[in-house]
Amino acid sequence: MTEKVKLKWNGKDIEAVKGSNLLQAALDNGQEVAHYCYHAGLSIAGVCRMCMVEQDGVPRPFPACNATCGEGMVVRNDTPKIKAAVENTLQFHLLNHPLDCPVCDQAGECGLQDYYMKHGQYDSQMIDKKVHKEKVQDIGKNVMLDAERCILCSRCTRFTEEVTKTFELGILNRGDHAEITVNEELKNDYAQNLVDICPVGALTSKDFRFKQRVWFLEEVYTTCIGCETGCSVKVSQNKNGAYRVKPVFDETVNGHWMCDDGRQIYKHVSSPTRLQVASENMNGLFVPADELNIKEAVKGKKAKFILSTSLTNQEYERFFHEVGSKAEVALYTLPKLGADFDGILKRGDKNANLRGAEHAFKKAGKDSTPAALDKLLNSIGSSDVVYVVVPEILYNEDHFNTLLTKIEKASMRIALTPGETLSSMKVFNYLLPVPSFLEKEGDIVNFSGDIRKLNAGLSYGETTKDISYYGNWVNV
Amino acid sequence: MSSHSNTHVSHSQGAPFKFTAENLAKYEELLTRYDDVESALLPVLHLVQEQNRWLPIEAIEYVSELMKIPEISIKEVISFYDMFYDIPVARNMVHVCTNITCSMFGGREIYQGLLKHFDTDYLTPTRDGRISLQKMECLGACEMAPCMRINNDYVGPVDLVSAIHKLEELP
Repeated sequence: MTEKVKLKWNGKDIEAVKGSNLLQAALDNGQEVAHYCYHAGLSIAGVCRMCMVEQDGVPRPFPACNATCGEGMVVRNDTPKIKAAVENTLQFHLLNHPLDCPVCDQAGECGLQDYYMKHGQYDSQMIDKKVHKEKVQDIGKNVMLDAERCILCSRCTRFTEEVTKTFELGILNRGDHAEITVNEELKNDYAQNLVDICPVGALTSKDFRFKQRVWFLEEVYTTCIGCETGCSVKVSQNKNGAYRVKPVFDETVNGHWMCDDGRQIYKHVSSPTRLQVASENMNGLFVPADELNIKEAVKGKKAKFILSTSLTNQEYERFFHEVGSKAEVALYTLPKLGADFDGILKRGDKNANLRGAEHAFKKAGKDSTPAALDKLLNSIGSSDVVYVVVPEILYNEDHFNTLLTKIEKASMRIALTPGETLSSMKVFNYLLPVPSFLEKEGDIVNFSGDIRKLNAGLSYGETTKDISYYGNWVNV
Repeated sequence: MSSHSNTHVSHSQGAPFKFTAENLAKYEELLTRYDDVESALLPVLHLVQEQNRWLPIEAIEYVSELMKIPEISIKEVISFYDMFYDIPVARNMVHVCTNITCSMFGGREIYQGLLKHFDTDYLTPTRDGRISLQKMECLGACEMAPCMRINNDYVGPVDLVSAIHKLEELP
């Protein structure tokens, strides 16, 4: 099936798999082909008519997305005929476009803008009035629809038909009155992907819109820590904070998509209520404290550690290297949420690196089971210091709060948290900030045992990047 | 048909819809005419209108469940074609042709004249609930131009006076 064929594209020799998609082959070979409706993760629609090509021996231009690669094909998309075809097609796409780029979130990453720069007819020839459609429609699941900006490429309707199979979207009416319409409202757990695949600004994210211009953002390529699937993602951020999470194509794990829960994982990283510096509990109020004083306070006391499943393999390894047999260690695992697997990507096990944790515990001769956690909790005495590494994302705060009620016996309670200060954290004497997933490099192990990489972007808390930080607390 | 209305809210008739036993048998027969279920959607929707005059959300839900076709796909079809009605229409449907031949013979004037005479608008039932008027692109009866369709009967050539006269006779 992977027989290669040679073809000529604009006079250049390119190689492609026999029978593979002609448009994709051109894109893979670095050729520029304008397109809106084609998406590698969806079926072929052939409706936008932007990817027209001419082939030797074929009398008429045809769309490349609907053609397959064959040996010896001679294809061009730089002829005057094709240029005219693309220009005229784009003119039709823009007939009813509201031209509201200054207030449109898609600006900067918009297919209409990009191709207009190349194929646009800068003087409008439109003499008729534009057709107006509803501009601000909340269609559910954090997705906003602007029907005027839509060019009817049908990517979104195909997504709800083919990927989620929930059939919420359709194209109602016909001709220039045709528009994307939602049946009641979006109900699937993957709705934010619609915003990604929309080539124009018709579908935008309620969470992201009007917050940032995309050209002021940098992308960090990392792994989602929302569940054990470990999808490849990129987080857009700048010095003011993190703003959104988008999936990155990864054949082995997530393909083109990610779930809506995963889009939320950045929220605690630059949240204004995130713990910034080491803090001391003064009658229920946390005030900045000196770490040296905290070390003085815990000196000589027996340490008991409750780790979370959101550390990297390197952090676990380093931790056990430092701790040895000096402290008791147990693992807090997040409770299951929803179905084990929803059939697409989302998994009920929300522990991003449970497998890495279990492996590290085993290697160090420690017990990572819930029974061992219960044993540690029951053995807490009044002279102990209990350290709790707070899980990065708590889907079920009540479950975690129950854990906190069981450590009250200890004379000293310290939380190491990569996130926001919760009201239930008043149980702690001290809070220490640790890096979030977006501020550290390392590996985690996903549900299938694959190593997934975390990459560091900008830092928002005054956290150390020294991975021996956790273990050092045992050695004071 | 909703190309003339901006709303996408499907209308409710406030009561459930169900095929009569007789129409359910007709439905089963319709299915045998095609290779797949989807192909039978157009005649099935016409059958619903035969029984119910128009297509409320209850009928869309019923057909969706019956044929295992997503509701949105049925709405796409309904909104695409002019002769499916997702708003209540009167018990008599009158189509006035305004395509080229009929227009040349005064079709548009007849349509406007009828709207004015019956004090109504596109598809809106007259106040006595007797008539809904709809202009049509082509009834395929140029030899009868200007022509109208009253329920399932073609009439033509007509002028405004005879058209009004014919409609006044309707039950």
